[in-house]
Order: sequence, then C-alpha cells, then structure tokens
Amino acid sequence: MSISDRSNPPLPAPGEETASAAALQRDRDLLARWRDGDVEAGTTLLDHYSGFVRKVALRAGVRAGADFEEFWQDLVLRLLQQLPDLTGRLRTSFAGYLGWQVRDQLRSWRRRERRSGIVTEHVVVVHHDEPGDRMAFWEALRACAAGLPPREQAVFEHRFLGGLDLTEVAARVDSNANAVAQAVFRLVRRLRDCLLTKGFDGPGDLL
Amino acid sequence: MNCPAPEHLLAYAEGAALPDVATHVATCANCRKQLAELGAFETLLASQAVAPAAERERLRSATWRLLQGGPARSTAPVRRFPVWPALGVAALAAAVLAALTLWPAAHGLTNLGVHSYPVEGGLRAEAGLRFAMTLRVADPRWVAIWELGAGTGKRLLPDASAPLPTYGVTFPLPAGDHRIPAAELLDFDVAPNTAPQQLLVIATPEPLRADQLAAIDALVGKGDQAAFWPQLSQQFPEARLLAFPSR
Ligand SMILES: [Zn+2]
Repeated sequence: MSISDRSNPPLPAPGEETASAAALQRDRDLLARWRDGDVEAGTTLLDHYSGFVRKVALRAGVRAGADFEEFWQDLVLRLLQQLPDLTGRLRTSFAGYLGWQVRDQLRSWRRRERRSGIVTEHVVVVHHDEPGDRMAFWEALRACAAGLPPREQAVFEHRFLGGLDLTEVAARVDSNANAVAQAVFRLVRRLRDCLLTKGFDGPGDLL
Repeated sequence: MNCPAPEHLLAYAEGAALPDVATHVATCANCRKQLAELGAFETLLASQAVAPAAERERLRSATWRLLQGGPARSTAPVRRFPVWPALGVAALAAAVLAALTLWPAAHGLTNLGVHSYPVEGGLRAEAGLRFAMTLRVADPRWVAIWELGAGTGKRLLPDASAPLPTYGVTFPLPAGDHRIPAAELLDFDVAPNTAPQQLLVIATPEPLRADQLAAIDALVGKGDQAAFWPQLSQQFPEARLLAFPSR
C-alpha cells in the first residue's frame, strides 16, 4: 500500500449513516491529515484513544503511571514509523488497528522486561471503573454482554477486552476458528443492537 | 468469488495477509458491511475509555512533542518541555529516571535517554547528582553534549580540561546503542541544586573542529534556546534537545 491509495478507502460500507460510521470516517480524515503533516490532527486522534490504550495495557499488566507513559511513547513512535502507509493498513477501523499495535507492543514490552530482569505481576483487573471512564456506557455494555449466550460472552471478553486474536480466542474457548469468527460477527451485531436500545450508538464527537 | 469463510474474513480484519480476501472485500458490499460493523463497534468501545485527566494531559503533551519530531511539514523550531513529572519518593530509591527521546527512529540519532541518580552517601538535601546518557546512532558518529540551565550553557563533551576529554568514549561511535560516559565510574557530575534543565546533543559524521565547538559554546552560553535553536537545528540536522529528568 502506498500514499496514492487514498482515493480508495474501503470503509465505511455504503449506505451506513450511523454516528459510528461518522466516527470511522472522522478517524480516517484525521489520519490522512496527520500523514500529510498536520501534527494537531495526529495528536487529536491519538489523544482520543489514549484511554483505550491505557485500559488494554493496564489490563495486560503494564503499571499505571510512569510505566504506562513510557509504553505510550513507544507506541506513538511505532505509529509514526508506520504513518506513511498506515491508512492502507486499516482493515476495520483505526481503533481496531490500534488495538493490534498495543498487543504487539505488549509482547516486546514483556520481552524487554524479561531481559532486564524486571518482574511485573500480570494481574488481570477489569478496569471498568477508571475515574474518567464513561461509566454509563460500561454498565450498559456489561448488561448487554450478560445477555449473550455463554460462549459468545467468553469470545467477547477474550477478543474485545483481552486483546486476543482469532486463533488465541479459539484455543481459549476450545472451539474452531470458523465458529469463533461467526460468534464475533454475531455478537458485534447483538451488542450494537442492545447498546442502541440503551441509547449508545457512535462515539460521535471527540471526547 | 463467493464470500470468504468468516474465519478468513476475521483473520483479514486482524491484519493477516490474505490477498484473495482483500480483492474480494474491495468489491463486495456485504463483506464490507460486516467489516464496517466490526470497525464501528471497535471504535465505539475504544472511545469510551478515558484516562484520568492529569495523566491524559501528560500523554497528550508527550504525543504532541513526539509528533513534532516526525515527518511533519512544520519547520518552526520545536518548543520542548520536560516530559516526566516529578516521580516523587520512588526516585529516592530507584534513582534512575529516564528522559524521553523527543525524536522518532526515522532520524540517525535516536533513543536518547538520560539516567540520573544521586551520589551515594550524600544526604538527599545536599546530594549532588550523576548522570549518563544513552543513545543510538544509525551510522558512525561523533557526539558533542552541552548542559543548559536558566541563562547558562556549558559544554560537557568533549572537554579538553577533563582527565578524559571524551569520558572514555571512542569516536566515532559505531552504529548501534551506546552509553556516554563509557562507564559509571566516569559519569557526569552535577553539583547540588544545579541540575541542568536540558541537554543539547549534536551528532555529526565528522568530528566538530575546535572553532565550531567554540562557536556553539558562545551560541548556547546564555542558555537562550529561542535564540540559538533555529540556527543550530538548521546547521546540524542531528542536533537534539532533551529534557533533563526532574526529580
Ligand atoms: Zn463478500
């Protein structure tokens, strides 16, 4: 993929006019402006997702505070290196892409910790109650997820909150990749429908 | 082509190199809709987590500074501030603070870090500091370093008056990661209460001549960054300013 790919954005799907689709487009626009040298656009985009990255990283055992801030800076540098063709790498959303980058970086982070002899306790804590979080949303999501069949609940937890990929989730829930993939697409639709009934659609404006 | 199996579509969504799926997705509204729904959900979820306000602000400032050093078209001199807040009592014991490199890896001089620690045995209130730098060069380089304070600027390296003018470092540094000074025994000393605010590091493919060093000494001597930085950064593309870690 190259910079000239900008004329062919694969997303959003035609006809989808929701606030979520608008948010997807907003992220793509910010990304394109950032790539063209607009530092403010890049900062705005990354700032918007700093809480998400923090949640994933802390959940994976990175300590809050200075450790996470260092992790964040490494992540920003990683994204900078990918910036020239980053738009072409997006398959679903910038948020989704960011999630995979966080995951990759967590791996090298752990390797580094092992090398330097630093021992981190990888305590899995569900940080749904961070001070700045939008509590109403996480409550609604919890309620909606509780309405999923048990297998889908597990898939949701592992893939969307635990950052595991298709193969890893399949191993965790003792299923095959195709069944897990079906569950992912199905649960996304169910959760979005459920969240809609509770008044949550797209993120809309930047926080 | 029929729509790919869900596992292949999802593997593609997760970044797998699947050219057939990519080709199909480009022309199939159905698959694109599925990916868009997934993307919208990811975006929604990721937008609902917010870092605590103070931390978020620090992350935002750090981001801004890092991006300034990236492939931005801005040619304005970059304003820089210390990135790390005081780390409190933890600093007493750990005594190693890393300063942030302000530039991405696209440049020849990267991974700049400052590691400072109190001189052992001193009382905290009157203890001096020692520090060392770490850095990475993409190609063989000579390096010169100045410490900058409020209204002052002084060359640390090379220092003809020091017992070891290059602090045990042999130049040019080969490509790779390095520590300056070469060993802890030789680390830079800072007198009590005179920690620099910033360090100026200049890497060059040839050694700086004595007259060039003297000219830079004079330029940075007053510590007025706004006055010297535009000229220096233009003259030396691998000049870097980095915040000295606050304590
Ligand atoms: Zn299809």
